[in-house]
Amino acid sequence: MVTVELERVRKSYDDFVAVDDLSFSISSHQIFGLLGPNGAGKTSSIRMMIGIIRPDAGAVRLFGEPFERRHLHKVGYLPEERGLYRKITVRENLALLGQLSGLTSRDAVARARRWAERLDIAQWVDKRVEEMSKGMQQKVQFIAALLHEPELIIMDEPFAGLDPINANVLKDVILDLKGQGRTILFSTHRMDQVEKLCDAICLVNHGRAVLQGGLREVKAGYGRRFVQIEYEGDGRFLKCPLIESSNNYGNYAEVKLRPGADSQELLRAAMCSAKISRFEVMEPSLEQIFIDRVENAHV
Amino acid sequence: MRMSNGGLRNTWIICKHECFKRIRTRSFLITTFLMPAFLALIVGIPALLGAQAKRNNQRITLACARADLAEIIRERLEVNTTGSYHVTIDTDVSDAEHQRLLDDLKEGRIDGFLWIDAQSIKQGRAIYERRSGRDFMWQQLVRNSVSGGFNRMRMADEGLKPDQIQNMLRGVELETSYSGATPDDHGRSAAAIVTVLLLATALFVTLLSYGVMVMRSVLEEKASRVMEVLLCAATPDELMSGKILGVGAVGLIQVVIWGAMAMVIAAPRGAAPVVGIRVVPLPLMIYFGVFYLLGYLLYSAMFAAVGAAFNSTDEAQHWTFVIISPLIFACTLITPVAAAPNSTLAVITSMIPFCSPVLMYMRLAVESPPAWQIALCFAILIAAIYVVQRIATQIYRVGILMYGKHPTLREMVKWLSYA
Repeated sequence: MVTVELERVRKSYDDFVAVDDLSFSISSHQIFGLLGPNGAGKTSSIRMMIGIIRPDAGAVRLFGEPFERRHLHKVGYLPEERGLYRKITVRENLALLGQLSGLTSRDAVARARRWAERLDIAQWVDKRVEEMSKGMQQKVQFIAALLHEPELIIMDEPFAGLDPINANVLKDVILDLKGQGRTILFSTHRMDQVEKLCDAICLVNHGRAVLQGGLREVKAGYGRRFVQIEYEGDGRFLKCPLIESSNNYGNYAEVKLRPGADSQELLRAAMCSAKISRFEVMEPSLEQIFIDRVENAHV
Repeated sequence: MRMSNGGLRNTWIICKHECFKRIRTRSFLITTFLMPAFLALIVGIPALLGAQAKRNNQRITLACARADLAEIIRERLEVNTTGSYHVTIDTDVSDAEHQRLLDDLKEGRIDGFLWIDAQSIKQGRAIYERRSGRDFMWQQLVRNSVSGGFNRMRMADEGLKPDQIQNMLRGVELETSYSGATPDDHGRSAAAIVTVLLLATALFVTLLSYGVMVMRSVLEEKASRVMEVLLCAATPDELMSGKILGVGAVGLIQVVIWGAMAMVIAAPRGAAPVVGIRVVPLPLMIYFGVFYLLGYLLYSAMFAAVGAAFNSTDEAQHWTFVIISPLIFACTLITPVAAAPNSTLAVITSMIPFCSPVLMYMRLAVESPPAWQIALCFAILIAAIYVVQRIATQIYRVGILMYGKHPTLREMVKWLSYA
């Protein structure tokens, strides 16, 4: 079943086209990564998904139906621009946001306390937001998005500003939510996390989708043209015509082969001039694909 | 304001949140309870001091070359100062006596003396010597008493009999009546008009301060970026209307508390104009509430739109002035409208929706305008609220997501066409 579907969606502000004919869909129970450089149209796309802005053209469908505000009670949203009322307590913030998501005040507070215990901020529930550190505020924001147990959770740059320990806690919660059958969309330009967590991706640039599909297929489709080589001696083999581009660190190099080039032939050429201690043909990392696609678009 | 499904629920949640959040703050408690106490102190202390001064018996010597004149002036003085002045007559007007009186004054044996020697009588003047200038309020009374005395003396010198003099100096009683008067009109005494003037000022102050509060609140939500979190759960229309109603409720609660305090304070004395709510008839109080609400709805929507369009109070500052200028204009017209409530100026300006909460209220306070004018005023005001709210909501909807440089008027007009 498809949880979110964008069909030829377009949004422009005066002369600037933020989202241009964008289509993608997110299957239920998936973790979906919406990727792209800054200003690619990720936030505009998300805002159209949850009705904050209306598309100029195209259609947005949530849970198999054309968008309606009542669907939003099944959606949790963690915006990129985090914000809470600073002068009131965590409990009051969460009670307000919980009520707006359809809970009663009492229910919202009870759930907030359970989440606060899980995320280790229980002793802060009755403190004012302005007294908390940024990382802790981030956790409160995260709780606000999950309080009403949404089926679809949309997170814009969820790991931004988190230290490694808290990022790990958040990752565990995300995997747990996926285990419970929730659908999760996150938008980021941090490829390492997407690579570890996502089932499917859509890469947007200049408001258009430039690459999309399951993570495995995307990588496989890109071919096994990437080679990591550890060597000692002369690195002139890196100049050989089999190689399209390379990144040489002195005794380690990452190499992208030309289409159709044979990696074994490169190995033989390398062995002629250097002592090879490791030669590994790999799938491209998502970061390599990202840079490749975005840079190609600039050329 | 347009509402989505569940919109009323969201509006209600936000309204409650805005209202309770403010009522619990220290600044609300201070302005609600300490401010009136402070004002009462400012108004009360001089009144108390005045009363104190009135109770003090003032020892005044009246040195006059003519005993009959001295007697008339003494009588006038004691009547005019309601017995506060104890006047001793002294017919010795020699230089030595003048010096003695100055010494008495210096030593505090008397509080003042009036010096009217034969020369003064001829020239029609008198000298009033005081120890200090603190009792300037009494000077007019002394002047009236002395000139009253002189007048009576001159008439008697011209051969008029005392009852003829009495007859000539008798004052005129002016009775005012209102044609088409209703029973309420009896409440429209001078004191009532003073209170109405104060209430109109209060209307201006509350409209302004709560409108600005709405604007600041929107600016704060924008700056703290809580706006986007709210927008996932509620529409901009719900956010705006919830905020306007919540802040308005705070204002209403404050006005009601002030009113109640004023009535409690005024109850035993029922005098001082600041606290003289009792003299304002009930229908006028109801009009006050209605005009407060309608005026607030009109102005707060504009403030909300300005709050949404800009990023800081500084940027919004000059627009704040643009918004309140019609209200300031209305306040400058309060006195002319009160003086001539049926003039063309009063009728026209009280129909302008941005002025009517103050000016139509003022007209209602001073006389009974024709029913059709009252109805037309309300119709225009309500229509204006609808239009302004629609425009403000659209600016709000676009503005709350706009950060960075502040928009020009042209850009804001363009926002009106955005989906």
